Amino acid sequence: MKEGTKRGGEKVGIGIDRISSLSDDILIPILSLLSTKEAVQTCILSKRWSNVWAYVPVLKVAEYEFRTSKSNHGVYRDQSQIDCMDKFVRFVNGVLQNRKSLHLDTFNCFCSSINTQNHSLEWLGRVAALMPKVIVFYGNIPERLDLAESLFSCASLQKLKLDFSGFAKITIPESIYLPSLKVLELAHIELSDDLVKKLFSGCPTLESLVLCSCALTVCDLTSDVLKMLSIGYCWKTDKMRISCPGLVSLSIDYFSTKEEILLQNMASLATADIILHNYSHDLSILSGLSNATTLKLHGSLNSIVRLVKDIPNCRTFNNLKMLEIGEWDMTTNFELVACFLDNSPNLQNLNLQLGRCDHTPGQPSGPSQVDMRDVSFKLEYVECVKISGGNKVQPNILVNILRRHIKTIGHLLIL
Amino acid sequence: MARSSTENMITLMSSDGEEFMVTEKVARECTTIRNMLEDDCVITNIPLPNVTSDILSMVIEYCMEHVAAAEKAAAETAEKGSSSAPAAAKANKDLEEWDKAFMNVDVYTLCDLILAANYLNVSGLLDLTIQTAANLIKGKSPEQIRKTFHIQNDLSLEEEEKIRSQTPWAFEKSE
Repeated sequence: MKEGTKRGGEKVGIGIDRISSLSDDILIPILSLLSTKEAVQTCILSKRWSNVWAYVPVLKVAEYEFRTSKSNHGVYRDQSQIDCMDKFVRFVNGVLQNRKSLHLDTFNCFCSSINTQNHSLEWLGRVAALMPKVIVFYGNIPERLDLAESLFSCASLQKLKLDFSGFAKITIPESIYLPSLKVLELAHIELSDDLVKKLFSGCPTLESLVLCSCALTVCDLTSDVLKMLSIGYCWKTDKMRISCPGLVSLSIDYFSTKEEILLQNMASLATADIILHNYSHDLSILSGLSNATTLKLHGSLNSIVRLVKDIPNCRTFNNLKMLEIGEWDMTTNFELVACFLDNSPNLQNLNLQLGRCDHTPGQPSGPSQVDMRDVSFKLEYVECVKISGGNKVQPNILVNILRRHIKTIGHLLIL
Repeated sequence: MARSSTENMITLMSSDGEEFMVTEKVARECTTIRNMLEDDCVITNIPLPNVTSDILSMVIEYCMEHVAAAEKAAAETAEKGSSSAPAAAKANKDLEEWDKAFMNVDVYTLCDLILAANYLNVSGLLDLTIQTAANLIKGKSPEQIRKTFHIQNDLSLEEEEKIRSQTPWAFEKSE
């Protein structure tokens, strides 16, 4: 198929150093794909290579590259571990002092020990002055944290990711102005109303916000420009209102809160992926999802029971084409699915993933709550219905219930 | 190339005078050629003095494969109204596999492909070849890198020592 002989066979160039004759314009992008440690070490390959690394616009440094196999995350006590950390600090300082390009595109820094925190915060301040487009920073910083002002006024920054595994409380700068920022990812950070307010007003082009394992003290997440919001493994103690009329995509995964979540003004929302594990508080989300075209909703039974209370607020899902529902036993708790089916006239694909059965197989609990006399179908036709999970009898029970809500099913797949 | 006759054909001429007939769509995968076509829409014969015939044939092979994959995906989307995610993922994986096999070349050819992709501005091929070159450097000692790319070390022992002493932080071992 391939002209293997042509490529693998006799070739004029075999044994000739071709790569060193490439221009810096090509070598620099190649070195940009390596870790900075690997890029720097090309300086002793030959004369041609001695300075190429110094113009690489990407810094990718990680403390673990300097670690011995024995050392772990956290505080270094052992002398050999402290030596490793010192090597890492000397390396990054050496690179920053000796690189020749005045510009930096990307700074990607992974510091795993607490001992490096003062250095790493200084590096952040220094690189912010080099007009980077991307900063990805992971630091083990357990206390209150003063981030350099320059980081929050970096005009070139398009993507910022900050992950402080030690749970830092950021001292909020007087003002935030990141006019180019499009993507912001925050992890292990306490997010207060004050910080959110400053972020949203100081980042006029922010499109994507990803919050992971954050403590959310924020009550009001309101933005006109945000297109993508992802909240994963976060927790909060207060009621939270999310109001983002420009939001296209929403993802909520394992969001524990003691109070209500409210989705409002979500007119642009097209895809939502919501996972509610053991959620035991009120939710007002259904009305906020009413314009979605693709909806994935997973939850444990107790969460879904909460969501059922939100059904009276549910509006018609006129755009909904794809619905995936999962993880609880829908044969006994069908109310929410019924609500979707009866209010989604344009549904094409339905994917039901059955959770573990609450009753023993062989004595299927009949769908007694479904009104057998109701023959006026709100949903005429669904192209494809997929049912997976459950025990031997659950899928069949589910099909029987579905047939009371959907007049015609194009394809029925039981996996 | 069984193509409908209505499709414009472009002749690309390599540095060693070999001619390659391609569809305009394939030629347009090269941004450099696309810009030429947009500046002068009647142009049908394009000399490429920087690309040899064996490298040009590989670039064309790459462009044809990627155009075909994009056309197939577009046809499937048009047919079903929307593209199914698993099918698209499989198509992507197939194309990735194809790319990987396509990159099974010696380092000399790889460097020529990088140059051609850069000159013709085929961004996908440039990314692919540059990543392949980076992968050949990754995890190797300086001596292994020299061997892989046939790099002659023209630094004297003193010069090498000088570089090492100027950048002591760069070569600290983590043992």
